[in-house]
Amino acid sequence: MINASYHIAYFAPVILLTVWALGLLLAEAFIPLTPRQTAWTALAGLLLTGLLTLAFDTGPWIFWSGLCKWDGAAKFFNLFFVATAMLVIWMGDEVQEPVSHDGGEFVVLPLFTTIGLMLLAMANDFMLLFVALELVTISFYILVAYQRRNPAALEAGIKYLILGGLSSAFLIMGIAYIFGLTGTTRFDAIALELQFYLRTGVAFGMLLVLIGIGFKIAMVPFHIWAPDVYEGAPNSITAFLSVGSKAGGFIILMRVVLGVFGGPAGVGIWVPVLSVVAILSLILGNLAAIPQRNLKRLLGYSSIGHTGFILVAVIGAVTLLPGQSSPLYITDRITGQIAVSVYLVTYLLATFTAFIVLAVLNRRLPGLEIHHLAGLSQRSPLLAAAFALSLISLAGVPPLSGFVAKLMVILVAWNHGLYTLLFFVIFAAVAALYYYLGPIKAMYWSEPLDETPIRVNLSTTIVLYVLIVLLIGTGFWAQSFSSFVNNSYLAHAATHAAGSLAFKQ
Amino acid sequence: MEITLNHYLAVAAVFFVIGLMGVIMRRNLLIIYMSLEMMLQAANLTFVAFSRFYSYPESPSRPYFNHIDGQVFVFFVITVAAAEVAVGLALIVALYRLKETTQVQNLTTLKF
Repeated sequence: MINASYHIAYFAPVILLTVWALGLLLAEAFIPLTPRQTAWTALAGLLLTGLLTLAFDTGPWIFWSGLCKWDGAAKFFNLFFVATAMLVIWMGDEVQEPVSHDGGEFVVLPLFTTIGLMLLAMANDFMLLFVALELVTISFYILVAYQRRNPAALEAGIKYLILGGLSSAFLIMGIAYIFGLTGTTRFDAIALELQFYLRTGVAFGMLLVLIGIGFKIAMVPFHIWAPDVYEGAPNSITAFLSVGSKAGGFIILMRVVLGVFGGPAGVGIWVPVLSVVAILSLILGNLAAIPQRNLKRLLGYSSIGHTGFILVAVIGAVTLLPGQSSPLYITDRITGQIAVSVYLVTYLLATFTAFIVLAVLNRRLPGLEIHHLAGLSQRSPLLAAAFALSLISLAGVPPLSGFVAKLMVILVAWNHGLYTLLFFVIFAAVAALYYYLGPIKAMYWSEPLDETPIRVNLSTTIVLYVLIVLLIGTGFWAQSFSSFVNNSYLAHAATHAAGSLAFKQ
Repeated sequence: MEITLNHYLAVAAVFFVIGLMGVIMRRNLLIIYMSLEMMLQAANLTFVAFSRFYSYPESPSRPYFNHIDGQVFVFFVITVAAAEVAVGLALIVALYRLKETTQVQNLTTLKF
């Protein structure tokens, strides 16, 4: 473990990846690289970044005049984003049909998105938060609309552009009010300022910031873009949006609501707001998915539903325990945080399995409607099994990994007495079962229209097997899985418990 | 009449709401995009006003003080907005080439 005395060293992974991405972009302009070479160079850069990130301790350290913070959460999410980006770039190169034949930007842009996401996880200042979030969003605008001659992709890109711009405007207006009434943009300084008392203007700013973040995590009522963009974007980018962008949104949501507004005054305002929003996301996401016939739209609505589940864990991170007068012990906050992280990891596994299968099928089937899956189990047992397992995991059926995540959310909600939310969580989980079973029924109990077997190449087969093993393994060994997440958060936090995760009161 | 912080905030809020209404009600993508920029500029105005009128509670002798953080933030917002416009206009141009229109009611490829 590197315990750097110059804390700027904690920037090394981000700097490495930035240099790598710029270098690749430049090299690509001068040297004729095949798309495969570009992709594998990018993968090598990500692998190095991941290894370098692993080498650091978990702080917590605040550096660059309080602009950045390196702690367990930052390290965990940096690794999470690097893994996500590796899967995305691999998918773009190996699995789906080539998106473009000119230029390697389709490979380099996800690297920039990853840099933005990594900085988001390290942000300790609204300034860095804003710039990092815009880096993520602007590179996503391009990626979503990358197939610009395809009307659906372009339309998805434009819808994402307008709604993303709107959310940035809300975010920046909110930051302006928070800055104006506290005189600083640093998270810890603002938290100190707002310890006991929240002026109306600051509360207003906080709600605007929540709207801005709400767009990124696709929470109701700011979810309208999700199904359209999910349907129009290339498969690998849809998976990236669904996992990377959502995890990025949740890490800053946790930093902002638990860190900046984690004092009693702040909690009193955002807990009711987020509770209503979580209930709406659970109901709308899961009920609107039922009539969907297009698989990518179905996963889009289900992703809105999953936002609802994760929001319940965020709320559970602070809610008053019954009979507790002075609020919010740090352990409770960490339980909620761990639940969020575990949920996002299981969501990553299941979502990528599903989208890899969809990307393979996209080249062979006439469309991605549910009825096109008919008899898939006879045409390719592996694809059918992988897709079925990922859907069952997303539905939260034991013993798959999605069940562990849902169980942790339910336990957090139960322990903190959030019985109303709990009711909706269980209702939504049951409703979700219904629409996740539709595609499975088509794959296993319908006659195929076309008997030709679908071949899957070797590397896709290997990755699918690994993902399946992880989906089942994290479910069966849930105890060691959640304590693994727990440990990667808290490796060094015991001595810094109060300072860890920026949750000083 | 002395112009105070509240005047600036009111102007910024009016700009913000006009921009929001533009985004919601106008049907032309270019106008919508201009309205979005107006919302960002409203936020910038808020920032500058707050930082110009920032006062330290503990020093009544210097009621107002240029608090530089907000003004620095404005430069970040302007830069980011420029990058966003570059990408946004490119997308709108690509749309015009494909469909010969920039009206939102013609974006109907993806729907429920």
